[in-house]
Amino acid sequence: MTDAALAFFDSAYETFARAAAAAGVLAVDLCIAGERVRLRFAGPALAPVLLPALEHLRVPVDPDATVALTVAVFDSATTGVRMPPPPWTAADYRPKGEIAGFGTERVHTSFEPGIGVLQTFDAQRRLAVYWVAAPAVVPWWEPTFPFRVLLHWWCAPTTRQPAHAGAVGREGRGVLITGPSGSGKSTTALACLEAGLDYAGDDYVLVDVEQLRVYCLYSTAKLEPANTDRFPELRALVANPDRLREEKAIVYLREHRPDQLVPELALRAVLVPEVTGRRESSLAPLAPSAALQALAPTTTFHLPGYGREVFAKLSRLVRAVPCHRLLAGTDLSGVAATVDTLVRA
Amino acid sequence: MAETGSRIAPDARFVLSAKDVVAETFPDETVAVNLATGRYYSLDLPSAVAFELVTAGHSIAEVATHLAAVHGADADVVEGAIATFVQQLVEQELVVVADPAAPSSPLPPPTPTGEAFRPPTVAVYSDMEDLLLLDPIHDVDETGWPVRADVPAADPGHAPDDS
Repeated sequence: MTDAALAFFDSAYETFARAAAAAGVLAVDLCIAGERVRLRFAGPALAPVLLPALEHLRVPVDPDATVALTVAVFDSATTGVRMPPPPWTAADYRPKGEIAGFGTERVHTSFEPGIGVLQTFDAQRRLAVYWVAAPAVVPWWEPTFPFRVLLHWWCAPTTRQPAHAGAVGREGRGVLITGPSGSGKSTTALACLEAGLDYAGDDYVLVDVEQLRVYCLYSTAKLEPANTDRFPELRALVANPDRLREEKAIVYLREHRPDQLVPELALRAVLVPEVTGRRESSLAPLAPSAALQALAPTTTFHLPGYGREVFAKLSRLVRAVPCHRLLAGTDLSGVAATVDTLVRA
Repeated sequence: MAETGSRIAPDARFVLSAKDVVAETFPDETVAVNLATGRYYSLDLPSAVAFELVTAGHSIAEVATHLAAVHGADADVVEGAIATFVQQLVEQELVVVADPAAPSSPLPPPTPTGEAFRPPTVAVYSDMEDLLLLDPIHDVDETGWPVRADVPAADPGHAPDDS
């Protein structure tokens, strides 16, 4: 039987090789959760777009080192190399970019027509291709958490999982802050950042549900534009002040808060914020089942494939650490102090 | 489906919709997710017990008899409540009709709890459904790849220094 998914992957990777031959290769090594991940950019166009959120993970390229994941990154517009036509039809597109007939145990493929980023991954070779027709196709949010879909597929057979959550801490200990978009996750993480706590992310982090550790993936902080007034110091650091009608405000913390960016934290608790409207903040006990409802659906439904495995991993996590509801008040220093007290306990 | 009119027949048996539904049982609650629809669910303890019995392949009548004995409740009342509950599970695509040939495990002996029977319910959360909506395809480029309406057309045939 012809493996259409593998044949497409091979075709995409061969196309990358031609783009690399035409435009040259920039290799960048990252250390993600202790593993070496190599990005190979064909041509210079996409590195400045996709790297800023990952610079804090960058390590010197070592040609002799074992590489756990290689991602081949290119666009057609600046390399002059076209991607072959998709071997599927319009009817084959599925939610979250999955494509009927092009996901197997070995090869995963994602392309969302409304976004325009192709990602395909061969688990056996730990090799991925990331392609866009042109750099202008990359949507504004993608550079704030690039490659998260590939990292999700890469982590699938392990106890690790990219999670839709933030994480902050102190002295190597931290808490996961989770909840659906708009629940106060970022506000809580950024309140803690501004209060001097260590920071590992406000939107996506990598958790290890066996080691009970959380790893920083992205050095970005994102704020709703209407929320920037609550963070006057961060507001001055926003990288995209001229585009806040269409985009969230983005701050690259490696540039501005490098000492607070930490690569990992021992996970001591899961926090689910609930905005109360009162001034004071406090903690309330939260059943693991309620924490799972806050963490698992938003992670599962944002990432293609492995829904069953994601649910099982996150179930394991909420059973393993204490869970709390953070009754988040309007006084941000009080929010941070409440989290800080929990972290220090 | 074994239904009589709009009501599911008492001898109907169901199992978890294994292809798309994943559930995790905690001491106080069961949480379930339908991976295909984007909905997720919460079942409190009494509801979780009924859910476990139903998805183990026991008929509505068997579950009702068991729960009536556990709670000292009227069997007809309990059967009606379980049928309504299963109807909700069916509508949410959480369960499917069981293979009639598939054996179900024996019901545990009923242990009276002294607690009054409460009709089981499932809380439905649909705030994630939008994440599973398909992107419309506005147009495709000359190579067949969908293009976004908001992105200026690129010419992938030109070399980088060719503009």
